[in-house]
Amino acid sequence: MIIPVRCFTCGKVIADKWEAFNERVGKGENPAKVLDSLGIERYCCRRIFLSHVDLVGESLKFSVRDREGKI
Amino acid sequence: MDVEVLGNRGARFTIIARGVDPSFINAIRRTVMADVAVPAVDKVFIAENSGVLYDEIIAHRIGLIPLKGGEGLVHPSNCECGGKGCPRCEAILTLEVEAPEDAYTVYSGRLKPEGSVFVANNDIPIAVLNKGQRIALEAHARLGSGREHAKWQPVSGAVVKYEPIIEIDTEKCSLSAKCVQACPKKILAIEGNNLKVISVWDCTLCKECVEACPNGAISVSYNPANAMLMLESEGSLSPQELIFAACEVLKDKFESIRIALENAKEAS
Repeated sequence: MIIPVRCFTCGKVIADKWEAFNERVGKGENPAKVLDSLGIERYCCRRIFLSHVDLVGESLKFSVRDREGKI
Repeated sequence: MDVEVLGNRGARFTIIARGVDPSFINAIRRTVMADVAVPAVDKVFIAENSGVLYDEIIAHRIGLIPLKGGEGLVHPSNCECGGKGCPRCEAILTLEVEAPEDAYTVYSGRLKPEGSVFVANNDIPIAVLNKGQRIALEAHARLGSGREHAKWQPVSGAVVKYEPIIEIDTEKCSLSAKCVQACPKKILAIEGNNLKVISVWDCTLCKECVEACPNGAISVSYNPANAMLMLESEGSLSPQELIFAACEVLKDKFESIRIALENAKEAS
């Protein structure tokens, strides 16, 4: 869904770095190097970035926009 | 005891304590993780949420955001209200946002402090909204400890380790550089005609270099009289403040043992 705020295992705040990671990897950078430069060193945090699928944009398409229920 | 600061890079703080048992340093590490009181959001009152994320998800995400401040707050267990929550033991943050465009991300920086507690990291996405969707909520933060819930744990990495000792027998060493390649932390290097250890504290005692050496010239052991403590703060308190706070907590615990012992009755 949306990137978890913290690493499940160690508790490091990771959500603030997701957008930078996603953008840079999308441009073709090596994910390992991006994670190193963002300061994500432990493999517990790294696996969350590598395995995350950001589906919140998909569910937004099916949401109602206002209180009247218009899409 | 002799303490040396090995590294102070951003939120990560590393010290070396010489001439002290690692169990003593470990007591500080465990106290920092489990018993230092920092604020975190514990109750969220949601007035409106028309986004796609459920109220529970948003409340959970807000709870995990690291908070700083709260010096004047009383721990709810010591509060006059009996832990129910009152202005003495709780600080309020509010969030009121209406998305001006589609796929609008709401960041933690939008949480407006109404009391003595502030968001420590302004860039955490809380929710994503479409145009016109609204979130209005009131979050109540209180002091707590990592023992209760991980959201009150002020550190992510907290490590204690012995001093590694890498001994190189220069007579047996053939400078084949097999150990240099084998070391996963890359702490060995050949400089001129000598095998050198670049940063001994990065050694993980894995002994890959010992296995790689064809001549048995390298040996790895450790010295338990010196210990390293690494703390990686999440922003509630600086690592130094965390160590001071942990010492205060330990002092109070020892004081409670003294008082209990003084009041102890002899078993009949």
